[in-house]
Amino acid sequence: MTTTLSAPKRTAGRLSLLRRSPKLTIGILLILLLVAIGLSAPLVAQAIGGGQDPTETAAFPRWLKPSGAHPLGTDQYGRDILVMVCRGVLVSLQIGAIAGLVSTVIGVIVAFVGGYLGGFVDTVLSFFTSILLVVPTFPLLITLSAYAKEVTLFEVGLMLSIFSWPFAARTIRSQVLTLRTRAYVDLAKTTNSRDLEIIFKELLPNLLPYVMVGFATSALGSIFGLIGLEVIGLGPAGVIDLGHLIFVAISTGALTLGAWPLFVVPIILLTALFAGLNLINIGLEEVYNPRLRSVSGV
Amino acid sequence: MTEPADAKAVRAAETAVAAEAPDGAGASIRAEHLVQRFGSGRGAVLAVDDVSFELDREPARIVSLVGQSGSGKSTIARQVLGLQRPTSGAVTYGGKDVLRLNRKQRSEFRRNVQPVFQDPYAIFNPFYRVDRVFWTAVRKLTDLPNKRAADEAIRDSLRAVKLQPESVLGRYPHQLSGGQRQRIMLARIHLLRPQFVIADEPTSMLDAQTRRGFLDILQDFRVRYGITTLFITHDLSSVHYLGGDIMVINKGRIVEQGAVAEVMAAPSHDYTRLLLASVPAPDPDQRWTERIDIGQIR
Amino acid sequence: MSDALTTTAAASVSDGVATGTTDPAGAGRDLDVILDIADLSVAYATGSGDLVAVKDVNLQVRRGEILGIAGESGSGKTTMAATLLRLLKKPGRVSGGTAQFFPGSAPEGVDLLAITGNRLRRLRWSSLSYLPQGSMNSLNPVARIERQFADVILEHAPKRKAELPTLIPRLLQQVGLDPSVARSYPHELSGGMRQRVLMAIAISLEPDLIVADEPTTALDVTVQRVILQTLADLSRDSGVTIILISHDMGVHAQLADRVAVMLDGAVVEVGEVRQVFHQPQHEYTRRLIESIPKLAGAAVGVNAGHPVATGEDDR
Repeated sequence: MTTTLSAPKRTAGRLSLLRRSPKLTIGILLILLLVAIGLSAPLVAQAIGGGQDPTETAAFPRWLKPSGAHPLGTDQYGRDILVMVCRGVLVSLQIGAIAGLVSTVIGVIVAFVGGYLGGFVDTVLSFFTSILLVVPTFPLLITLSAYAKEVTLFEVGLMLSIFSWPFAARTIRSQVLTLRTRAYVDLAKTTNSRDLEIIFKELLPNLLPYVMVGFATSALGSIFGLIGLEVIGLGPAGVIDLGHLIFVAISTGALTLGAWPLFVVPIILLTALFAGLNLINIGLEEVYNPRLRSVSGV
Repeated sequence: MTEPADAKAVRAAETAVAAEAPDGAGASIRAEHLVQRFGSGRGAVLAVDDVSFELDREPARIVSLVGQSGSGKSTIARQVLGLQRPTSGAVTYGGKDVLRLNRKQRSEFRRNVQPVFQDPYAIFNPFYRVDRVFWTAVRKLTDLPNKRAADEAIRDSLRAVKLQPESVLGRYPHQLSGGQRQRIMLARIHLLRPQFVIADEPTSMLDAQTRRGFLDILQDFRVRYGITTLFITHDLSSVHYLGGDIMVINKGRIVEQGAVAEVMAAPSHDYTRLLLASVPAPDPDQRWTERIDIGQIR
Repeated sequence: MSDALTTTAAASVSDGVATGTTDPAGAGRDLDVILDIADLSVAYATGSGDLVAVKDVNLQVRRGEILGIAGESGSGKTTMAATLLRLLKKPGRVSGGTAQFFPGSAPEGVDLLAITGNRLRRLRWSSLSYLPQGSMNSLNPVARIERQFADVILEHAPKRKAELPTLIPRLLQQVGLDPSVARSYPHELSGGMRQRVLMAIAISLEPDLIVADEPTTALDVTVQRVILQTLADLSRDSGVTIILISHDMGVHAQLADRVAVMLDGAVVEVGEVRQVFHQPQHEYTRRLIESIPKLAGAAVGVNAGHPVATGEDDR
């Protein structure tokens, strides 16, 4: 009975994925909006600076109130806040993308090698993953950042991913464990498929949602890990992301000087980023994890 | 009592098979003192306890392995298919341990020994259209010269199991019924023409009518293509319907074996008797009169 | 199990005003009927319109009988059971009909499809109970068996608290279990034992009607025989009415007094079990019976002199 009833529902499944999960839709829209803001930075800079870099020191008078020419005002060096915010969004997103990608790749490899092969390899990898999961990462990040003052964006992403891949690995490994005992894996084995073929062709496609969840989780962790460092003034120099702007706002007392946008706008954008990635996470889980699916016939 | 309608045809064709079968290709499957222990220490479970039997290529037969859940019958299926390493003992194909085959031998083994699994839902990778089951098999296990020949062979095989090629090809597994999916597995067998089929509870999730159709096809394969089937089941009426040989397994041990007709007419082991007596006869005039007590408490 | 029931009951807070408890035709009804299903239809809302799962079912269940409901998967028998028990989930809904129930506590009759809130709650277990397909999910995995009994009993009959220490062992014995089972957790029991625990819970408040939905489907054949034996004993000893839903015609032949055959949501045939098996009126019934291969040695009995000790397996 369940089969006949669920059939029409699942037929439409792949296409109406977004329609079925408003959370996923809103999350994706929020992230797209942020990407659009980030990508518009050069245009905004052109419009406001008129050919010059509007974030150069003393490009404009200091502490200008929001106005038509400077919608969010300027900071203590006379830099345009709107342009800085747009660029900051882009940097934050890039950090998330790099760290998320690296963590996911490491996580997927560790999860598949351990989860599929099992045995001794799995024991060692799981042990290592668990250790990294329980190590308090924030103090370690602080220590690391002390050694890394002049670093590129990519290096920062890499550094952050060291601490976020275990989350991805753990999520994906548990799924590999449930999937590898599926009958279709056995069927592939009796069809003389090799282990790598089974991993890439049978298991990975079914794990894509979990890989995406792993990516979103790692990206989120990395972005906020970095912000944590920056807000207390320990961020790597040369990387101006949203966290750095908040730090500047706090350290110069921007709020008391009436330049509230320098503080408030990055926080709003960070909140949107946080909400967006989390909604994507929850949405994916809802759609793909049957235990969370609310209705399933009788 | 009631002999299957086509039983006579089956018998008549039997003689023809012996003549038609390829000469010399007489590799048989032997299970030699198989033992499977799961876990260790006090929690250890002896799932298979010194099981030996032989499946011959000629004459093609259907050998049913009958037992209740937890009797170890599915573990034996996995051992025979080379999916589960026995704690001790071995399964040999053509005299060689199936877990120690070289590349060429393994390919030979996979070509000739194919499974039908229990769950017609889990057997398909939900990510792909059902066609892929055939194409992977074609690629890995057949010598079909080109795509057109393969496509033609696939369609022939579908028709051979009374499926309309147009109504199943190009579909996703969830769009098909359990009976259709299990028939696709039979079409796959038809396409590969192995010497042996290891069928692990293939009908336990099918309705009575669908089940009968499935059993008829197995019988047809034996008669037409000389395929020997190890039919693993808990359902004695299916065994009776199929005929051939029976092995009764209880708690990992084979307690009785012989021709189905003889064992059912005069079971020699108490456990076999109990099993036979427990099948509810579909006749209100043959209700159980005596009570059985299987000493279930603790 | 009890969870599912209580949540559903709690969901509908209001004690309905128009509960349809009075049956206009009640005066003339046959006193032997305990449940009178009239024109029952159930539909599932799907993306492409309604899917009718139960179609205009008219069925009378007689007091004290075992009524078998047969049919293959998708025939609507489980949906009908869920509807009678008010466990039908969205997107399913009753699209028409009534189900007049005449328990000892309300001889004037209540419409099972119309009552809500506290009335429904009171009816459950004490008048109408449910024996689900035996699986791990039916019992709370982290509570001892005795607590699961207590939960059901105290929820519906709080004043029986003092009786519990004697009641639980008695119920367990009634289904052939050792009283020590009360101290166990579900995972320590075999499938057959869990199914008997469910059976004991189902009869704990001496209901008038038990709806058993494929009670032996997940079980081994020897265990099935014992469970069916126990169900027959219950029916004979306590006079409880049982609606037995099963796809297995053999089960009906062994146990049912009457059999109703369902096909595509409709009841195509109802009759005494012998009549249905020996002179099926409907073509589908005939096919259903024919499709079961008959065992040559069906008459083989267990050797009376040799008690067979096999023990249920734990997995």
